[in-house]
Amino acid sequence: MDQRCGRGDGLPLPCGVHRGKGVRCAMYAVRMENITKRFGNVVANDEVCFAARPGEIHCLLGENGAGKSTLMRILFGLYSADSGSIYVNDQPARIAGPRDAISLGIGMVHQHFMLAERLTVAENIVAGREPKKDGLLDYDRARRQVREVSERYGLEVDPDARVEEISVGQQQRVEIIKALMRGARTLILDEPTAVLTPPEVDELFVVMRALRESGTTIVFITHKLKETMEISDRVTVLRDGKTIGTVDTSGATPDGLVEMMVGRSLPAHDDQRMPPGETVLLELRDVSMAGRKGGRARLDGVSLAVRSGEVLGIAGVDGNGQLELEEVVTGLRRPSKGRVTLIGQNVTGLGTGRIRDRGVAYIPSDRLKRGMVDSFSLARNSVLGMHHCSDFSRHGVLRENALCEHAQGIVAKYDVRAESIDQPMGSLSGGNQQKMLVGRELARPHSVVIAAQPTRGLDVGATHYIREQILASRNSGKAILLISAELDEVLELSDRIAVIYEGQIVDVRPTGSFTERELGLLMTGQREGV
Amino acid sequence: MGRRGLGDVSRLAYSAMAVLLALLIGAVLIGASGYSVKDAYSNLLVGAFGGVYSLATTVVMSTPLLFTGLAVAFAFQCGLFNVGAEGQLYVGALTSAVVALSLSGLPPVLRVIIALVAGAGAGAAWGFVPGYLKARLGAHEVITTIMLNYVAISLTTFLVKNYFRDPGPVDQTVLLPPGSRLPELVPGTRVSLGVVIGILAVALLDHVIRRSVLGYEIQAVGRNPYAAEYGGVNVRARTVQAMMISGAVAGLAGSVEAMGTLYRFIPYFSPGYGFTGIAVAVIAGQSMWAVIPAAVLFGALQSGGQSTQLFAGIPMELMTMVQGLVILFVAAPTLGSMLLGLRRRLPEKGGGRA
Amino acid sequence: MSGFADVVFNINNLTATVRMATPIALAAMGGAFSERSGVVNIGLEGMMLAGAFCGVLGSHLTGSPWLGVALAVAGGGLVGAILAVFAIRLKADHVVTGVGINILASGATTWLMQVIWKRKGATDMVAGLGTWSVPGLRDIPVLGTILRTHSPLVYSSLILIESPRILVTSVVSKRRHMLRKNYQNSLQLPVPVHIYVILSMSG
Repeated sequence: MDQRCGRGDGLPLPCGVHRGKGVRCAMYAVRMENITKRFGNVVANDEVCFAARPGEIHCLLGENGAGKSTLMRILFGLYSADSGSIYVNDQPARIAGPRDAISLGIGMVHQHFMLAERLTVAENIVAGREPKKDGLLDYDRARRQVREVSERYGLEVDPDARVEEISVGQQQRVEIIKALMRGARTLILDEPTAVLTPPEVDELFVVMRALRESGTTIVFITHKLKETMEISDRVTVLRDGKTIGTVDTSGATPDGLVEMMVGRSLPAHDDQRMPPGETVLLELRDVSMAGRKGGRARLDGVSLAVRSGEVLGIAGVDGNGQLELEEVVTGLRRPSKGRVTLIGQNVTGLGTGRIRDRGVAYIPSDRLKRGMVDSFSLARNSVLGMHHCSDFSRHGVLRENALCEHAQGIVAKYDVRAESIDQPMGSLSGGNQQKMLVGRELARPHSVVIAAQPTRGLDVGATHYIREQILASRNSGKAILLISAELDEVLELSDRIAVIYEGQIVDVRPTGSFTERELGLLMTGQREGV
Repeated sequence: MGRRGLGDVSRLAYSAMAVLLALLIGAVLIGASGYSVKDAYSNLLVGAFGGVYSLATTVVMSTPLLFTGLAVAFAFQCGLFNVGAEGQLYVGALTSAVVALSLSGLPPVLRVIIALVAGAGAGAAWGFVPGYLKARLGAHEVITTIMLNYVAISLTTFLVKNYFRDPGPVDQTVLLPPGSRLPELVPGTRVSLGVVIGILAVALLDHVIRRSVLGYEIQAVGRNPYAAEYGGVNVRARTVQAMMISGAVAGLAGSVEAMGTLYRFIPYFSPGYGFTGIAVAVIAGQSMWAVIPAAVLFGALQSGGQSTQLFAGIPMELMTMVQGLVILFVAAPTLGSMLLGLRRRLPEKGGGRA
Repeated sequence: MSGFADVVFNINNLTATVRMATPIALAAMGGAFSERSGVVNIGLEGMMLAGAFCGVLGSHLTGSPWLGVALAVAGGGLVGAILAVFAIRLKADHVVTGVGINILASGATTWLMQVIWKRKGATDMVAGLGTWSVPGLRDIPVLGTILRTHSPLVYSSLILIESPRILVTSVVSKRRHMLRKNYQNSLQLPVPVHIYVILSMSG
């Protein structure tokens, strides 16, 4: 191991590094004891204990809603705990806001970046602490500062590029540099891989290891087991706001971690697959759609066919045309070229309402934006898209009872945790919202299902349930178009897989004929052996 | 009915608090300028509510606000900010007056009904333009409606001066004959059937919003147009329709004023009913029925303010200031929760204890 | 219709146009500055009223019209600050707050006018800024005549039009830009600093 006698900044060294004289070694870089945090009636953190050793990569693992983000936000000063204590480098710490956290060397990279798109990388990084010359921004100095940090840790960015022009992976690096430049010795990463392509994830891990070597402590929030096993030194599992335990990754097994996360073991899907039918229910022929403002075409000559009783999975990195595909098939946008056929009928250019009335169940990728009106009650949301049907309205007036019954039916069948069907949909957890959505869509008379990111942001339990529903739908003869950024999900559910890259379908084959590695390559535009 | 009811109650309580706060500051200002606070507020109350004449004045001043407040509140449901109620009421007023005058051959009941419908129609047409521009071109309705206000006021004035003028020294239309007016409800005052029409309008629009498919779709568009689109709603059509309905109601404000209180159309007759209507709508929040107490509040401030000016010598402008303060305070949701020490479901900032 | 051209291209009218455009231009600059920080400023009317009032007040109290201008800037800025506090810190709707400010300002200025001058309608005359004649402009045909003699505020408004460009590259502006994205740092308030002018000052 490289020996370095400290970084000359007076802060304690991580353990295991050669000590110079008079330099103390901290036992824990950060320690949080008995943290409790409530939001109204919900206890987000319940006497949680967490400790990260200096210079380690520590994973904070748990389902969505387990309290991981909340805990780290308390550490970073965005929230204040109701009770408990925090120690940084074994000294008690008072963190009233992000400024305090930053001055203690804690930095955080959030899931949703806080960057100004129209400004450049350098401008974003120095924002708030700009080097000035005569009252104007000293851009050259800013650029140099950025380059320095970038080279030191191997975080490649172009300081002069505008944020809106760089990739998501690069934007994330900008956020990391920002944190490092503010003196972060403990870096909190909140679900960093959610927005990255597989190769970008690998790059991130390289960076993380480099940071670890230089003595930075990394807390890595995730719900993905695979990554935890791959990158972390130790794992702390949270469930329902409580600490379940902390283990060394080297001694842990995936099943063991799942059990800690969920509290029970999940049975594999009952996968009695029936062979797909013959009839093509949904077809796209040579569909193209221009990009906005004359940019690159978002969809380029896409041809697909989905048969009854089949799941066609679209695999690809987010941003390669999946959203456009989703929109074209459901009538939200018109293609500039090509045809969309539904059960033999041309539906190109028809509006969403008309297409859905013809028997298309649509689980949108952005449930908050598209799939529901969050201030409407569950009852009202349960008929969104069917509110004008005679089942739910008569002479232009809504039939309140029918709405209530319908909503209650969905709640019962899908085990949606809600207090009443009159409460606003936005007050449900993400998992329950999605269950309502899926329930609503699958309750409509339909023959085709468009499922876009159906388990995004859901906990393990809800994810399992919804995947079951999709398989059940398939087995009852529906044609399902599955669009998902989670490769595992596509592999698990699809009969055939189509890989999409830069708006084009690169390959379409039965699932079994792909290897995961091959898929990863295709998703990034490369081919085996090229 | 579960959470929804609770929301309305706390909104009302919150608005009431804002009003009290504004009155408090008003008291400070009154005292600071050397007037008697006791005199001021006692006159305010008496002037607004003490006695038949005061009550009648309050009702008369509240009625146009009832309509404009309702119009703006309805537009809010569709996510639209109708700042054009002022212009809409002008065109409604002139149209009703002219139609009522020209239908002298018909029996009064028919005359009144047709004139009201015409006024509403004119308002609807005035609301159609910004609605269409928004639906088609994305034109911000705040700007288009404000512009049309200027057009409406100038246009109606022009039309009166050149085509509908009552021969005489003043630019105004001929006085409406008794058969063309809205009947008086309380003899000796100017309280007309208009207030009843207003309440009916509130009931109707409340029903539409809460129970009809149209209302469902309009609310969906207002709260999440993307989800509305997903749900098969024709967002553009609903936008235009909502503006037209809003315009029609605002047009009725003018009609009712012209046919029930002024008995003619006078250029520049409105002391800003359309704009005050915005304040009324903000206080009313999501509920159409709440427009009624909100309108009464402002009407009371006006009529009480007049009385205060008359009897205690305190200028009306102080009441105007109180109005402005009420709007500011009602519009700031966080202010209320800060004052009441309520916790909200928003991410908190700072205040550490760990 | 030829009468129309006569009216539009009349030198006197063009001169008056420049003069009358000034308050609108200044108000618009303030509004644009505010927009850039993500705040929709409907309260411009109120800020202008406040500024006008403070300007006259300043001139009245000190006898110097320039101090009046200074007070006017301060007054407009103060109202701008109120908008900022309500719209950002208290999370009020920008447009509604603007409307409220307009109403509040119209009432407040009239009231204060009565308090100080005991009269509605108009205040006493105060020392105005007078007009400046810019030497040299006299000789430029047409344009020179139009621009020759104006209140100094008109001239300053012409200069100020350039100011946004400078400000945009400054630190302050970048910071404001980030605020558009609702930055987490506790609230750096973008005060739409607002200058106004009303011609009553220049006589």
